[in-house]
Amino acid sequence: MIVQFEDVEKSFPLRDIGGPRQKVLRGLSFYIHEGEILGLVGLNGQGKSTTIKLMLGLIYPEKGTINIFGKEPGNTEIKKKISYLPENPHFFDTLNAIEFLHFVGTLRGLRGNDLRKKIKNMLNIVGLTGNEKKSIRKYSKGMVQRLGLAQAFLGRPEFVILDEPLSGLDPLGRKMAKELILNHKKNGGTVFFTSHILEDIEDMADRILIMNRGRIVKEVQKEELGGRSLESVFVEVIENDKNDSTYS
Amino acid sequence: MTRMILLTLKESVKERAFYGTLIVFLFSIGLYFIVNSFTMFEPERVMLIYSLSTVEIISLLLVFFLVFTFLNEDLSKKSLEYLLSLPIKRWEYVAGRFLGISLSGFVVLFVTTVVFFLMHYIVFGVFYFKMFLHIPLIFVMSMMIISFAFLLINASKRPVLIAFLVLFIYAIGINLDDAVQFLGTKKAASIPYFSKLLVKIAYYVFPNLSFFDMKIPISYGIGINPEHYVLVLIYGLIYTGFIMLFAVILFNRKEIK
Repeated sequence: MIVQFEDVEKSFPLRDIGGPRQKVLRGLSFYIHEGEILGLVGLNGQGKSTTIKLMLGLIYPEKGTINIFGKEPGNTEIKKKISYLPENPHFFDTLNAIEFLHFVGTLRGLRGNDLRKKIKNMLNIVGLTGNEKKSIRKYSKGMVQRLGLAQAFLGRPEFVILDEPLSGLDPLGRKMAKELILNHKKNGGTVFFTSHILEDIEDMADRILIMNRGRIVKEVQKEELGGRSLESVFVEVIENDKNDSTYS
Repeated sequence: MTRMILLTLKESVKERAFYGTLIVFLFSIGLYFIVNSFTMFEPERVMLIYSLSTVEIISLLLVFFLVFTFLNEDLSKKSLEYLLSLPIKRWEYVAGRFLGISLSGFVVLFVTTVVFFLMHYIVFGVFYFKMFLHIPLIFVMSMMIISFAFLLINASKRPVLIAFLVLFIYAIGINLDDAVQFLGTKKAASIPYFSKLLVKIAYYVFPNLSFFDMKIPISYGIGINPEHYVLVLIYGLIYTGFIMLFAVILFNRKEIK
């Protein structure tokens, strides 16, 4: 098991300083197996990004435990095995794509010719060849997203975390991103991703977690869907959860 | 940490603020000749003070701009969230950015001093090596200012507020010694005790940046006590060290929301 969340709770203050707090995660428990693609779906503001931030050690749980590769999140050795693509990424926009990927690659332990080859190959895969010397400041949203995918898969990290990976991409870009994710799994990697587009999750994920009001309300194996669309399952689960007053 | 320093240096060189500073510098070189042509009394000393003041303004200006730019990128545009997801320790981020900005400031400080040193030789025919005594003073002073920015990122996510507070601390620090000296004069007798106490507390809490202003002794080449000079530098380095240590301790537990 790569990731384990057990009974995790997290709240944030409603105001900048002090005041009442709003519970975002309420006893969140789930796990991620090695070599799987796990999709996390949920309405806006239900704790998806908070879950990712906890996984990366950017914020800390108030209750419960989180284990990533058997250790606490935020550990530098563990971070060498992880890559992350944030939602609406903003990279160092005075640099160009090569300089940026070089920085990320060296942090992941890649060096010299091997790194240069991998950068060239990755830029080719994401379709940024020809634009690699342009400053990131001049990139369109879709190009930044492509660059974000390139850094996420550069050097084949064991565990890739993607927050809305297909956002801002054109149809060809979406196809490329899906192939990258599926190929990563083929090569033994693990992917955890969130998306608002349920069809994308259905296409790629082996297992899907439906999140509502700060906890997992349903876990769906891809095979369990049968002929049903994920959308119909999702709507049904969320509607049923609305009527459950336990967590309101 | 080296990667973080190099990233900051690389970004600094490509920042618009860097080129803005270069334009101000070129303008100040032009102004040098104009001011020199108008100066009637002790032109050599006047131009030395002009050179040292310009070097100080340009390097501090660059440091302020870089601090604001990087905080804006990292806090408002959420680069920090991404940076900390990479195999970078939190203290490496703080120390790397701090040293990267400080070194960028140092390069500009050194280059501008060398240019004015050569200009002094061209205009007055004298190699005035004492000008270089100014470099460590301004470098340490700018490190003190930058360290406050990294302390303040623990308190606010708003780069504009942090930049404003850093400017505020600079304004207090540069005038603190004058304020304390004023309190010792007869004119200050009517000032309430509480206000005097407040100034005295500020004197020990805020950085005493007026210590670093040695432009006049340097330009006249007299009154520089080597012991005092070294003590001022040690004071600045220890103060910076404490602020940075405090900044790192707080940042290690900070939640990046």
